[in-house]
Amino acid sequence: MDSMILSLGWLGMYAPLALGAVGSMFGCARAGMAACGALVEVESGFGRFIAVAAMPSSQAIFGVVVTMVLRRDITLLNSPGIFGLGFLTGIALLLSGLAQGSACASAINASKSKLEIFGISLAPAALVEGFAVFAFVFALVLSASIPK
Amino acid sequence: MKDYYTVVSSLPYLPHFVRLERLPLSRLRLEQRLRMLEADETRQLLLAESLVGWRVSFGHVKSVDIAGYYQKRLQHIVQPALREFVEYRLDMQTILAALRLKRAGIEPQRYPGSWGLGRRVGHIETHWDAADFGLSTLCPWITEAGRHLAAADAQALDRLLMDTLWRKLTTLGDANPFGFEAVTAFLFKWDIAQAWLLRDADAAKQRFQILIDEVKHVQ
Repeated sequence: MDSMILSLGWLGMYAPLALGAVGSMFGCARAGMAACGALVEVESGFGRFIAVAAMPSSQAIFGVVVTMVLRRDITLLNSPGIFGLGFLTGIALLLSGLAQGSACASAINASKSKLEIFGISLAPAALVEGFAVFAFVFALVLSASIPK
Repeated sequence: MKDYYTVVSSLPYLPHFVRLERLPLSRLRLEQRLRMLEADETRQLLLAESLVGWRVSFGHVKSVDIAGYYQKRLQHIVQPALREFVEYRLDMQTILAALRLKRAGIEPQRYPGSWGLGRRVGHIETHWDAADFGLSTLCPWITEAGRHLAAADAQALDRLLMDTLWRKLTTLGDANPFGFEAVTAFLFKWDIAQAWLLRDADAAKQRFQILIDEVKHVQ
């Protein structure tokens, strides 16, 4: 039983990085595929589409920071806290990466034929990013209350 | 569920067909983009277009063989979204055929061969005496189509059917904006738009002149 609790602690410590990276991978892939499709259609503005496709990479960065903050000696006392905080933060980062990828793909698709809406079309993707930032910031705040 | 981000994003925006001045994509380019799909998916799309496109040519197929011709080819269309649209279009054609038969005073049982195809045939034959065949709740366009047929207004009928199909395709495409539904919707909308633009000879002449002027850089 003790070893299982300790295993969960390790899992929770690495979860934000791993799940955030998975979310970023799929998010960037979705937006990147849309950017590639748009490049076939447009005559200019290639750089901005590729830049938008990179937006979902932030979830992996948040995951790295949360994993570093949760890094400590795993004990029976702090393992449940690390697991809960790390795993749930990881899930939030994973899903926000996927959702942001779809939002970025839609922004690219919409703005390819109407360049003037490029800025405003990114608002949904920025909103999704905002929720990832919530999860990230509160993970940092709450990690302070987990015993070292 | 597979995603088609690249193909969907490579397709241009297509406004409603009545607002179009020219097609945003040539047939050649459209087929190039569709080749980004898997070969079988492209084949299914082009087969569906040959069956239920706006203007279908049967070539050597005799009218009595048409039902068999459709049934044989329909087996190859297995993509759910595409199949849904093909069945919807066949239902539409069947209802139109029924309206025309009724107007000509021909009983469906006395028609040589099959007069219609798909799931609505039995229902229509059962409700033959009703003006809308008991289908106007499901297909609200029937009453107006019947009016246009009675007035022999082919243009208004075409426009009504095109608009009905366009709205159906918009709903289909919006259900999954980066799925096969969106690709299906674009192809058949393009087909409608092309048919719409080809039907007005004067407008076509004008557009042709504009294109020539553009090529020649005439201000």
